[in-house]
Amino acid sequence: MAEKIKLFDTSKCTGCRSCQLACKQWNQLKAKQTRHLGTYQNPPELQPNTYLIMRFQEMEDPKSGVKWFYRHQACMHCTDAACVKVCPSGALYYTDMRTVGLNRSVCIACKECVTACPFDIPKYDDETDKVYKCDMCESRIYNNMEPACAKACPTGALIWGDKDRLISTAYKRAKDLGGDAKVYGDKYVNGTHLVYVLQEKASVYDALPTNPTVPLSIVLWKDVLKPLSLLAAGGVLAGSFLHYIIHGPKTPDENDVSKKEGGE
Amino acid sequence: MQPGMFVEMGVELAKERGIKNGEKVIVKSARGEVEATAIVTPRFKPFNIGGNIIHEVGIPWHFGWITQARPKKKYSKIDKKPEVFTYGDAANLLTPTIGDANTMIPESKALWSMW
Repeated sequence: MAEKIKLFDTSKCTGCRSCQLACKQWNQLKAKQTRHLGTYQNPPELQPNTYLIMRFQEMEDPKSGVKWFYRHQACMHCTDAACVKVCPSGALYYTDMRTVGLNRSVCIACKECVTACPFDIPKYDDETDKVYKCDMCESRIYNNMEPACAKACPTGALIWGDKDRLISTAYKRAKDLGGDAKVYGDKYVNGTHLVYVLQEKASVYDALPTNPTVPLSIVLWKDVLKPLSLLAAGGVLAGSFLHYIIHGPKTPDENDVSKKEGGE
Repeated sequence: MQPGMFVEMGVELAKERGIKNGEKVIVKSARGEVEATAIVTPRFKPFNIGGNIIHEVGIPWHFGWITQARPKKKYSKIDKKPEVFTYGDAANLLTPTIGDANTMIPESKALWSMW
């Protein structure tokens, strides 16, 4: 399958939240009671039943006036995903399209992905004792449809397509916008499958890490210690086997005078 | 997609009235009052009209009788119980019920209010 990505252009977004609604509808997610906190952002954060939210942010610039930023926050579908790396049960996996899928039937709710994710995306649900996150509408993309959020976007801020084409579109758009505009996502964690064209520096946007990486502890644990421990376990087996070949099985030695029963 | 009634106001007005973002406030007019959550935003700027500083606030109409939560309400089996409730009063409480006699368009698209 061709590698595809979802491109979100903040400069084209009007904050209508069609994507958020379409996500809820396609995945048949329930609502949860929230209360008004003095912002249009609702719910305030991603929840087990909300795979995608629009983040609303205002910035007052003395020169250009008030700016309103909208950011589509959902799973970034990293190529080198920390969650897949830590998942002990194989519930999180890479699909053929290089997105990160989640098979909840084998999720053991260890919550390691929740702490490992540099973008703070997977959410644990107490009631079902499972972890939830966006799966890039796997049921849709494998049937040659775009994800529900991209389908719903009325302004073309969110588009789905071949990786090479969209990355070049993103760079062209960032160049056209000028100023601090930049492409976010294609450089980190070997390239994410949700790529942003940001109007401002990444540090301006809240809850957006400026340099997301797979945590060092996970790299040490999964890439260094785990192979080492496998090697050690294999070494023990190989050593015992070699001992068996060379010395043969241990037989009771009756002529050994140095060994007396009873001790003293 | 908003969980309740809100009122947007400029930073200047909020400072004058000692209102913080996310606080519950009461918007009053000569006709009535509604309770709303304050959104303090730089998007609203005070007007200087003939030397007077006039503040503008923005409130949605949407909330009101139908969506107002009634926790004590008993739902029978055939009723579809909403998953979540939105809270708040309708902005109509603030406005006079005056309309153009020919077109029935309400006169109260914009109104004066006091706090």
